Amino acid sequence: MIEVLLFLANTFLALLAFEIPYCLFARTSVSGLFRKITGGTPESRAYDKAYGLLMEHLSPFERLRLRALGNIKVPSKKEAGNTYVISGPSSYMVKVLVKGKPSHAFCIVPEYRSESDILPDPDMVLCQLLMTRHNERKFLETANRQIWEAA
Amino acid sequence: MGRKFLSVPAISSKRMLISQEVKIVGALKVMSASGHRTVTWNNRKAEAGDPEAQAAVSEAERIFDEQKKRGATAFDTTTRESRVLDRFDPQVERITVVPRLTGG
Repeated sequence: MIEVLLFLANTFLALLAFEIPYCLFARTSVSGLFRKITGGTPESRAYDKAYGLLMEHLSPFERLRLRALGNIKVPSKKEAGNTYVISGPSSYMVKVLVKGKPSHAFCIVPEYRSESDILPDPDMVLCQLLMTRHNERKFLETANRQIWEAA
Repeated sequence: MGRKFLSVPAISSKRMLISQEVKIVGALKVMSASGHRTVTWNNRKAEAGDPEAQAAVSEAERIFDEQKKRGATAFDTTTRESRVLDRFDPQVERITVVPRLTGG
């Protein structure tokens, strides 16, 4: 029994030792790494490509945060004390923390005109990240304000 | 041992040259359903009159204008201190184009 527990603990530590440097420095997801070897569907290849682009725009700390906690935080430049929480990889909602407390959310999506307008999920995260970080005024004008829904 | 040591500066200077070469190449990344489309150009060659490089710059500018007309937003994402681009600038190293967004 102890041997099994030790084995599981060692496996967990080995995974953690791999996961942290991988998240910090790699620009593909772990599953994307396997897909590079095994091929994949056009959708999965699009996802991996978008994931790579998202990683290019994140700092090592943000990459780690996204992998570990599933979100990125962007402090508001317009309203001091507000923080946008962008949840990855599949949420159209950008949640807002006011002085650290959940307040409301914004929903923003790419305008749909054809099938080619459907973006892979990591691209959606990147859209939200760039808009909140560098074009906050337009983000607030465009997005719909919603009530906060706990995940 | 000594030979290995002597070879180090040569590799470093080669790497420096490569990084300088990379810096003069611009890239336009347009998000799409298939991930993203990347168009690259070499601004230094285009300025020197290289027709192929000039064609690449024109193509990037055409795509940029086409996306802007469709309501997209372009960001200069060369550094973390990004900014919104209203007009195509071939001097920018990395442009990321976000499609037109709407409230959900």
